[in-house]
Amino acid sequence: MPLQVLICDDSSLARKQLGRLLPAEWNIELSFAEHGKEALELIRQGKGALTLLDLNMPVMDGYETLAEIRKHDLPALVLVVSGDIQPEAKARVMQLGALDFIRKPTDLATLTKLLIEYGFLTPVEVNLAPLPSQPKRGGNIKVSQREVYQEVANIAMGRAGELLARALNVFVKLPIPTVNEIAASELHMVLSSVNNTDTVSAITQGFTGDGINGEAMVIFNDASFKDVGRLLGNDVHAQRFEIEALLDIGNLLIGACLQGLSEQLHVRMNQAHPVVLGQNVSVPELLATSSKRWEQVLAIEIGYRLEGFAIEFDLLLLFPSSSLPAFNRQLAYLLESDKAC
Amino acid sequence: MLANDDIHDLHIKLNILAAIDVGIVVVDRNFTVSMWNEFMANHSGKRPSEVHGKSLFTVAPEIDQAWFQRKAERTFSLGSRAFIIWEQRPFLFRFSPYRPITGTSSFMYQNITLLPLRNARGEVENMGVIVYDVTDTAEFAHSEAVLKRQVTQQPKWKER
Repeated sequence: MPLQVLICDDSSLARKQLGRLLPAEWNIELSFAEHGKEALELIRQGKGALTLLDLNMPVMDGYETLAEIRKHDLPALVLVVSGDIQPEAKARVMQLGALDFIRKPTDLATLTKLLIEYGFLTPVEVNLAPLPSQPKRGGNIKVSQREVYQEVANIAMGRAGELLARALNVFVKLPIPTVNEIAASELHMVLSSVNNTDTVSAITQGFTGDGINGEAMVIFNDASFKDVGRLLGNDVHAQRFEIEALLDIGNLLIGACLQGLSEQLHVRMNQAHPVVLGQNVSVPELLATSSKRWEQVLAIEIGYRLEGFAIEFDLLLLFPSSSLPAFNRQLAYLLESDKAC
Repeated sequence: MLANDDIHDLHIKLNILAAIDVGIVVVDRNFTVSMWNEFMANHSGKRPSEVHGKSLFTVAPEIDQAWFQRKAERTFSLGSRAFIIWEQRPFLFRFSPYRPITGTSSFMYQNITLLPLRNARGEVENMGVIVYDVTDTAEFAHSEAVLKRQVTQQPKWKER
């Protein structure tokens, strides 16, 4: 009887990539779920003997799903596959009964090694030649361009979160990145951590590589500054402690996020020095002086929260429409020959 | 043995490294200086031979040691690049400005990049400190701010 395998991830790109990675000669029956609730239903039907589970998902996230599986003693062995690579995230899922933790993006060798290690796959099976007629698993999953952006941002964001967690010794709550194509003047509408009455401070940093250029912006709610300064070990009475905190956090977030991005796109990026965009101003004021206010941009917004603190900040990755052809060309390698639609 | 082409190549690179208008310093985890390019030598008046093997904080006592060590520690331990901008601290090294006559500031404003430098085993053993002269930018920003203040003040003819 084939092994019942379930892939649970809100990103269609992640489902497709993971499905394609599963050894073709492996005798399994594969199902997919988009969030924890769907996964639990399928597991109850016996379709998730081995479940590959993402952590950050809408409706029901991976942690809750693991807790439910344990609570009701459901028939599922779980391998977590996540872009959230904080040591604390791994510790939490292991405590909730996960077999192991695989960091995204994963590859065939890592996955095969783990599957053999846990006895789901025998080395003999790996060496069998796949049947030529067998269709690629997950080949019929449709992936929209937006979901490609979202998953790539998700992995890059996870890198940045891990670095931040190590630097500040906190647990970073990672959201699901939002992707919008809007005019630059409408950016304030995509910021989740601020409402229009709050004042904010922001830095922006230009980056460029292989025809892809853009700006990475870190926007701080001014109310968060004191706590952040303390976490960083900076002198919060110093005259410039706000800008100091802004730069410290910006350096970590932008650096790690761009590194995550460039590894996935196989592009080396140059970074300019950050520039202070505004201090203690409203969000619309931040971008008031930009001369390209009407140009369409691809905006990826990531709202970070630190667990146990009233600290909120946004990371915005902005790509002008002129750099999208190069961006999409690099992303197409991620999808290989499958057509995005 | 280096081939002729390699020597030629190296020669060109060294010439550029010497002439480039950017400061390059390399320190180890104990902040001992192992590289100090001509920009640094010319602006500080200290020759590479005088600073090699010395602590950065002895060579440049104007650096706020506790503050800089905190920044550098993050670069060493996390392997991440860090930027320091003139709005945050006007300078790391106290140098005279390039234009002593027509410039308006009494020191060189600087942007700094802290670069983790990995050894063959992938460990961050050294850190590159790259120094950019941004005096023109800073002076322009200052004069613009002054101008803005003047413009927003009520002009005299409106008082009537």
